[in-house]
Amino acid sequence: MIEFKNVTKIFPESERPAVDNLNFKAESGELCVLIGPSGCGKTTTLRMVNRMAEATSGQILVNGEDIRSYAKEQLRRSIGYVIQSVGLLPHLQVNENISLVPKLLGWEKKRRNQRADELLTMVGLNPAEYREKYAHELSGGEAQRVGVARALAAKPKLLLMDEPFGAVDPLRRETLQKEFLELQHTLGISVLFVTHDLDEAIRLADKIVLMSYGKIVQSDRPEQLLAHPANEFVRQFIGADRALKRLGCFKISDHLKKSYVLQHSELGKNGTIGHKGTRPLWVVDRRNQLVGLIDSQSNNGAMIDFPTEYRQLNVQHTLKEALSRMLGMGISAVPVVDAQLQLIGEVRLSDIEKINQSGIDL
Amino acid sequence: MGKGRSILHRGLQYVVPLLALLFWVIIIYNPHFLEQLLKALFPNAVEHLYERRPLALLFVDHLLMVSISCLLATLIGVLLGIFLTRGAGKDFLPLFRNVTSLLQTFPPVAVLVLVAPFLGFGVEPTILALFLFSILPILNNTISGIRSVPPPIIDASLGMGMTPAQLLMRVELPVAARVISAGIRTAMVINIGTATIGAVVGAGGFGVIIIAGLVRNNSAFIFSGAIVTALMALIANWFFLQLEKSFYSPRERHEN
Repeated sequence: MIEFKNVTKIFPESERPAVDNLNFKAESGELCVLIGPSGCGKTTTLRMVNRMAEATSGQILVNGEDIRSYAKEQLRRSIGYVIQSVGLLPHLQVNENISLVPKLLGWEKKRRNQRADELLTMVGLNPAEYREKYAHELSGGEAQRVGVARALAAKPKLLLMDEPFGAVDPLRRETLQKEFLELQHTLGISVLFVTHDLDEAIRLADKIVLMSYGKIVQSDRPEQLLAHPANEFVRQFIGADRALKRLGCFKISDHLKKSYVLQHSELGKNGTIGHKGTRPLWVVDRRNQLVGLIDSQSNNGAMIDFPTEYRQLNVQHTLKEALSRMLGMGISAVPVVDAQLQLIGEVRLSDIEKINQSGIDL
Repeated sequence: MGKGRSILHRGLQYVVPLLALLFWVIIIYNPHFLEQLLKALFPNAVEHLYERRPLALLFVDHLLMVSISCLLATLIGVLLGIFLTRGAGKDFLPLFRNVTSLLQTFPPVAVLVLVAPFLGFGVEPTILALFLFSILPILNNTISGIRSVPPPIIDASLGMGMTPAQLLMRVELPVAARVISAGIRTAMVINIGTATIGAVVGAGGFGVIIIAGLVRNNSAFIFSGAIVTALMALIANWFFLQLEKSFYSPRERHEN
């Protein structure tokens, strides 16, 4: 748990406080995202937690203890730290980089190497292949995986991350975000995360703290922030498509409905079945894998083939992704599959409409 | 094609210095080999080999002057460089840069003449002059080496809980090692050449042969003094380059 009590930071050369009387709390196990325009003080706020920046006044508590009750170095070794440019030491191998904090803590070499291998596996890199590489031999995404592994090496309870995925290309960024979220849930660690990317914040955050000019403008769960913006600044920051963005906060797993299924072999000779209902019917083969759909409104009631991305929606995806697929094909429901691509249910447009109708401020 | 060239290139890298080393060892151990060579080159000279002091002993003089001055300059230059890149020392950086640059503008002979009355004739004033001339490259390279460590690396290292001393020993110096050692190499090579002027104040070394050649108008002496000095510089340079290769290089980052 992290708690900020009346924390203010004034840099020597500036008159305006970079962080102005900040008060907030992040529960343990929570992923708390600090977000805001550049210069809003989010990075300074983060850096005050491991005393890379010293608060001018106020108190910061980590797990109930004042961070100033420890020596700086001792505090930092107990908190994971990940930055955008990773900062791997260029003259050390990957496993030596991961072992930096354990080494500072005086772990034996054997234990350090064991831990490094364990962590490489955890972040999805093959230890045999990667442990002896140098930073210049890694891609941006790989380097950041090593960066995360390094931060986790001494089993910290708190992780500070400053735009960790900002320098990774968008495709890999999303993969990294997903994998990191899984890792965070498995380890149950608290994370304080700085970003300026709202989509990233919505995807990851248990709680979003929106800052401007060193102050907190609003702090809430992402779906609440998007539904009830506190003022005009928040409205502008989250954008006019907030209803759509908000759908990104809801997992399909919570809105899965039973689907109507038809075996492929049951179709008539011309590929129709005379289906007159308004609901689409999913056509599956013997292994219960999707083949297509029958919709009385289109294609004269004959079966329509599914493009590949429509066969891969699973419970980990969000309602936003489900809605996008509905709009793409002009249908009022989309099928959901499990890991073996077998049909397990559907998501309906009517349920999505209900979510936004029930409680979103206009 | 490319590969063939790189093998040839790498081969030559070793062949030339090794031949130089071989030649060097032969003439130091058996100066009569050098004598034969000089006779062929300067048939009109009265004498060919300087025989008042054996070549091997002149080499020892030369080596001692150069290594003592370089060792001292490395010690002072690196420590000063570290101090000038710390929080407290940063303010002194422009001052020290100016002072060391100024030192570099003094002609070495002038330094010798100026300090000889205080330190006497012989090895000491020469070592002092060489020391003063070595500081600039070593100090400059230490400073730029340490400053070339990217800020995120320092941020990450401190953020992981390194003390300032650990940052210096485990991050800054290892990353800067190659640049610093290039500075020491430059100083060493320049010193080997400059050390010949020590002979003016009676310090010994290869300069003795050259001075004798100038006094007696003997080109064979001048030439032989110059060639052994140049060979020594070449070999020292090569030796230090091999040492540098074992350090981390910032350039490796761009190779892949």
